[in-house]
Amino acid sequence: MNTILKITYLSLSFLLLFSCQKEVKVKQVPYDEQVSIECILYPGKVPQLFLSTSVAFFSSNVSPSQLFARGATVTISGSSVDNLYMDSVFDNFQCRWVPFYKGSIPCEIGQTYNLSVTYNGKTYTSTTIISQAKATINATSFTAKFHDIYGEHEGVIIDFDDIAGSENFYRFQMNRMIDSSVYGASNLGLIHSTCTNGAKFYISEFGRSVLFDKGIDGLAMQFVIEPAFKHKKDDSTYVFVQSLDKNSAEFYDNIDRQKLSQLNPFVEPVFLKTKIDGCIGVFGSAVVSDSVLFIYPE
Amino acid sequence: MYKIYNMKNQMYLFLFLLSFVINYSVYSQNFTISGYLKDAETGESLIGAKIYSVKTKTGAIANNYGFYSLTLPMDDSTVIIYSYLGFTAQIKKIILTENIELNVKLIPKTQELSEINISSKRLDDNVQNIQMSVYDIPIQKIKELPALFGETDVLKIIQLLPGVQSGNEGTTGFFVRGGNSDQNLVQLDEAVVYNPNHLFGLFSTFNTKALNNVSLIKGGFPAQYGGRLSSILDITMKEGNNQKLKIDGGLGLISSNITIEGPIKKNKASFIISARRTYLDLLIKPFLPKGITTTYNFYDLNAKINWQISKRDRLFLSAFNGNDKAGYTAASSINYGIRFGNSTATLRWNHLFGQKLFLNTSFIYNRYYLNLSTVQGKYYAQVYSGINDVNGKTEFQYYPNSKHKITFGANYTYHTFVSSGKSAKIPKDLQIANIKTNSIPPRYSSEMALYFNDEIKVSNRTSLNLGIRTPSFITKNASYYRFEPRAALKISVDSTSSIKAAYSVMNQFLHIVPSSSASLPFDLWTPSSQITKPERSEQLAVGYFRNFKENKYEASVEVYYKTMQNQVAFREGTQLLDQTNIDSSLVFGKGWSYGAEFFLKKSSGKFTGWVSYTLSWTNQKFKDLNYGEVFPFKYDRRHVLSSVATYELSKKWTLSAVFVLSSGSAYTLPVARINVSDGGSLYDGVYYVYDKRNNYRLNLYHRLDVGATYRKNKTLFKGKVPFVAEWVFSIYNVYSHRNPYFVYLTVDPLTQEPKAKQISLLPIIPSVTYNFKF
Repeated sequence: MNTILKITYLSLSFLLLFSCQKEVKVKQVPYDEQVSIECILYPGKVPQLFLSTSVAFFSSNVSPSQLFARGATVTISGSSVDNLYMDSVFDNFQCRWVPFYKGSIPCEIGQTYNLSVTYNGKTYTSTTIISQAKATINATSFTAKFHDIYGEHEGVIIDFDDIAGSENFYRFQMNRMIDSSVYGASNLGLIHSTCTNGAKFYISEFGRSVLFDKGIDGLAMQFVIEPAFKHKKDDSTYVFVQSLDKNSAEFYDNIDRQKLSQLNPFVEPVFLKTKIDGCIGVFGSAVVSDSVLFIYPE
Repeated sequence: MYKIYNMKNQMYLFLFLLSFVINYSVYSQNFTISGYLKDAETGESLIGAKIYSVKTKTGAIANNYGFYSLTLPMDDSTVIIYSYLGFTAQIKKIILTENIELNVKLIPKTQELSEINISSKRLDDNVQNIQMSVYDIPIQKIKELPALFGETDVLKIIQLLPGVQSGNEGTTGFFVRGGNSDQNLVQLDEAVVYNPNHLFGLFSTFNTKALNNVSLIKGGFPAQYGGRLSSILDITMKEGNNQKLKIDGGLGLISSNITIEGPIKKNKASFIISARRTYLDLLIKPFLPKGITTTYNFYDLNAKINWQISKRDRLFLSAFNGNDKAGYTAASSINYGIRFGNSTATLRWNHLFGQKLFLNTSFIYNRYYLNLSTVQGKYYAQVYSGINDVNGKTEFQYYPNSKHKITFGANYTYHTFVSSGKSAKIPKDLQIANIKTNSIPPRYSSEMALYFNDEIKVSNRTSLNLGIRTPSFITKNASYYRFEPRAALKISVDSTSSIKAAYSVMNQFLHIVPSSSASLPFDLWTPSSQITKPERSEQLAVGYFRNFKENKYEASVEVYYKTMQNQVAFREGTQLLDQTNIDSSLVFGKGWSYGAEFFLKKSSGKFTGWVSYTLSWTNQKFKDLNYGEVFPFKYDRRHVLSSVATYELSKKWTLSAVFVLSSGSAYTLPVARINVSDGGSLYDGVYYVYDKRNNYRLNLYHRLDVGATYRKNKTLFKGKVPFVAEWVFSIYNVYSHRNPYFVYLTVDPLTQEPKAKQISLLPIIPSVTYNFKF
């Protein structure tokens, strides 16, 4: 009897606690390939537009160059018409080429720009104006432990004042030189460069979270940013605050909240809202603050 | 001022209805037979027993306390049939020249008598009863059906009825005609049970051995019921054997139970105590692999005392307490700890004013809490939800003549809510601070209702049920006053078939916000407020009911259309951050459901059982979800087929089987990925494209369970005490079909390639239970 009971309970515990978990082949629901446009204009710089197509969710990973939408006609019209051409840059961290469309006329502050992208017989249009004021960083510091909606993390702290009298949206930017010994900090934690042979290379990263000044117009604001790449004591970086236009702010905030819902299984899923009719993406602008040197204290 | 005006209006309405009732009695001229119908062996009330006058072809149904009242014309020889399923019918010849009080005790049918003493008249409720969309669950039958781990369960049986769908694999959550699980009002002796589950919903909190009657109403609601949109599950506990001491017990694989009942004073007062406790945690502990710990245990306790103070007064005191504690910690990605419990106490007083007016007054206290902490991957979530209710209600049942049965009453509940939730990334020191339940600010609200219902026999062929209910809800900064008309019509086509129709409006002031991401019971109750408006439903149902072969077979087809306003859901991207008021995280929309339900039942003979099939559609539309477009409800299952069969092989052996087949429930997955090229390092370089909420379906669900019951009658103490021993053998999911529990996504950190993983919970599970009764 004792043996029977043992066998029975062993089976029960096995059934309950090792409930079957298996990878399932999910039949992809029918969907039409979508076009993605991402273009943020910076005063003083020539436009860069990332044009790609989507990939079915469960398909194997493909590189940006495989998804790049070649053969498109891309124009950005401001005070003059800029016809963008195909170009690319090598991503030294991920060791891959990233293609894009590049303009030749630097953007100007106060100018309205119209975008037109024609690809596979369809034309996508949007408009933006670069009218944001430049933010000024007051101070930078570092915290080894900080809690926010992303959880506990270390962070670079940037203090600045909101520009009074207008609706403003901000995100963080950090530029630095790293080498192949530097790993990604959080979600890219398993990755490091495998193609630079110890040579230093330049990276520029943007913060995921977007600060809105609703209800705190003209008051002191603070970013606590967890950078995407690991660091050592005395690593030097340059930090910036970008002033975004409303479209870009809402788009990147939407992506941020979607990312959070992907990482945290207890967060409701977020559907991305496009800012360009007929495709997914954004056409916007950012004004970058003056840089401030930041050296990691630990 | 507005509040006072509305309360005055309600009071006027109530007084008007009362005067209407009094008018009925003034014109009453006939004589009344009234009394209680009881089980001759135990003294239990026979709820729903039928009283039928052969000559006038009119009848009455015993109420929840076994009381009946039937007014008939004066007659020196009237024949009355008293009948109840599973009992031998009694025929009484009565000289009706004055009012008569007649308490009748029916004798439980033995197998030898079963074929000859069944009155064909009593089985035609399906056709003759005015109410549609109502099912009385046969408690005796439940015990014979195959059950998961041998634990017979009333909620599992409910899931096999037409129009009712189960939630996840193996769980007792149920969804009625497109409604969410919180839209079911579950009452035990009139006390609300907010979470009728044990062990993540694998079992219900209701110990079958302590139950007398279970009724499910899913449409055509009489006015005495309200507060939920989709269904009422009305459960009545046994009163306790008032003739002799009885002990009923069961030894199962994961739990054991015992029920003791007996007279305190014979025929006057009795008691029942029933307890159940699982010991799965203690038994599996030695067998668990290193690194895995678990604590599964639950218990429930039912107790009831009833006392017949006088011929006209009865008191009932009942209590229920059920608690769950479960924890699972392992190296895998999902860990959790959960504690929850329900406690209820009900004091009821029945009083008879003459033979036609029955009063029931109840004072009820109930308490519910849920404390859940769960970890998945690098993130955790905590939820605390607590509700305390103090409830008083009084209900009159008035039987002025054989053409009317009037029910009217008032109900008041004072709710106290405390709820809080939070979710974040696990801190580096792995120390997750618990929610401080004492510091959660309570939210108070008052819910009240007045109601009036009249069941009218218009002619021998036509019956009508008309009712109104005026619920109201008052909370801080918000008051809601609602009007709910109810109507039902039955037209007999002939003696074996009828057509029924019902219309009802329902309002709901308490809500569970369904989480579309969590797979665990994330039941965060929240009351209506200035922001969260009461949910409202309108339902129209039409059905054709027919019995065959002298009522051996019952068949019905019902079609329904239901709209649901002010449905609640979490806003996209909602992350609970120590929130004690979730109103600002909610979005509101509407839902609608329609379908056809087919039911065929055989309720007598050696072979009994039923087949039910539901074809239905349920959709929702929220301005702030799914780009404002229509999307299917999570439990929008197109086809649901259930069949239940029992066969009496011999006096000792009964065989049974359950088969379930249903379409998969809906869930959401992205359809595409897009690279973030411009500074996308912190986004992992990719974002997802969703085309529609609930755009995917879980795989088809199907399962066959079989069971066999061996029953042996013995005697103890040299033949003085009869002893019934019963072995129940069950196999759940005979062919071990891996039914989907839920699907979740994982992303390969190196390739960024997403993969879907399906969790299946319950493969083939054999079990054996030993029951005894003496």
